[in-house]
Amino acid sequence: MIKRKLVARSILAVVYIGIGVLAFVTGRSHKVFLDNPKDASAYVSFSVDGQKPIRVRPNGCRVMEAKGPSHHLKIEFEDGTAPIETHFHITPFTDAVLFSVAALNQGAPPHPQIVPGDTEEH
Amino acid sequence: MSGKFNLKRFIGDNIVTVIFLSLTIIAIPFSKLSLLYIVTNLIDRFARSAFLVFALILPIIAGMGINFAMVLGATAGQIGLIFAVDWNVVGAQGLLLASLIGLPISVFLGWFCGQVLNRAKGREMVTGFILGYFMDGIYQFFGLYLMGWLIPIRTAKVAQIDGDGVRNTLSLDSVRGGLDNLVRLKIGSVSFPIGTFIVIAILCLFIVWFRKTKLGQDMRAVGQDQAVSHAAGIPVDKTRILAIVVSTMLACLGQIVYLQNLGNMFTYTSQRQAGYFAAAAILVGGATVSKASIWNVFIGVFLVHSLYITMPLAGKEIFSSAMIGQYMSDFINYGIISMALVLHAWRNRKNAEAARAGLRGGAVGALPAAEGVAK
Repeated sequence: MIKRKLVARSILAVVYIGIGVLAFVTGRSHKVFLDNPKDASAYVSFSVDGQKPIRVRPNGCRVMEAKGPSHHLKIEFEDGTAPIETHFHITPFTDAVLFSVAALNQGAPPHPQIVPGDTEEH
Repeated sequence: MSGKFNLKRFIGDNIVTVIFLSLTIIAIPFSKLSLLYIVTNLIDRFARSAFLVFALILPIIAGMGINFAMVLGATAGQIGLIFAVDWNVVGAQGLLLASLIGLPISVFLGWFCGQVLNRAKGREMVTGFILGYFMDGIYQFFGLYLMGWLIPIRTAKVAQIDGDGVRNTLSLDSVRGGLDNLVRLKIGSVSFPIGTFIVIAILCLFIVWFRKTKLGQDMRAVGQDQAVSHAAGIPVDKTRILAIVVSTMLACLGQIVYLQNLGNMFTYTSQRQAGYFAAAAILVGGATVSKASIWNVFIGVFLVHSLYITMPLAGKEIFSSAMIGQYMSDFINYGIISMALVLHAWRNRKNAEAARAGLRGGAVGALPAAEGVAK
């Protein structure tokens, strides 16, 4: 009887912690920076997970918030260059990631750079 | 005994509610606020505050009076929110995480509070009040000293300028409306936070169900007479502790619901307001320190908030100063708590005298609304 109680309470504790972990992983907000290089010829617009796009000037860097582990990034160029769309993942303990338009244009794989520490929008 | 409605008796039994209703009715035309504005604000404020007030029902049923120690539960909720904001967990998930962190803390604090209150039988309310202040000290030690030093703060917006301690005012933008906006219904220009209403409805059903369970009935029996309950085999002390634990857990969740609506937290003072407001609201709603129901919560929250909305502007019109109106709201609020407590004590004394006179063979009328004497 005591053993059954102990097992039941252990299962409840595991479920409780599991819900907390799930809430943490799915609710964690991250900053996604997009860097438009200095020698870029045009503005770009980027959007994460279908949010309202943000324009980034040449030699500019803007940020968008993204919630959860897995995301969709879309970059559109105002000079008519083909847009870039990609999926990427962020681990729960990462605060911010940085995408470089230059690197993506050169065909680099869509692995964002992890930006360390607490970040402010540039 | 005649079942006819007696206006004088009704007013006598519900004097606090009648006074509040009268003041609100008088203040509304002076405030010159439109009915739509008042209704819109009332809906939002009801969604914000009702959950906290429900936390007071069970201790009242268990004969422990107004649980001013619900501040401990509110503090646990705030600790959960601090972590949720610091870890940047947003929206409904942030509120869920805050609840999951706050609930175990509130269970421990509720157990501790119950142990103390069992050693202060007959003086639960004032003991709970002082326990709230004691918890304030522990919370400030946690917030100002342990956070940043022992418990790292990850987000700059949470920390004080020097990096140690949580800042005095914490923006809850990341979780603001996490529950209210989960399901929102707009009818014309009035917006209803259905998500919060659903949670409040679930809480009402829980209270109705709980009162019918054996534990709920035990609490009621303990509230009526501890000696008889003990003789009947009910574990009085354990039942009282459970009432306080459940109340503290509900206060934890209620404070999270309250703060997600507000969007802003005064880190070291918000929890104190929780107790004062909830106590005033439930007493205004017609509850006493020994009897409370769900209807008392609904009526009390609506009445208190109606006064808070209309009185500052009514004061400005009457006295040419909005500050006097605000002062009057606070004065009436705390005055109501005092009046309800004094009335309860007076009724109990009258009933005891009537009972003594009855034993001597005299026929002295007892006051019908009085309940069992707080032990």
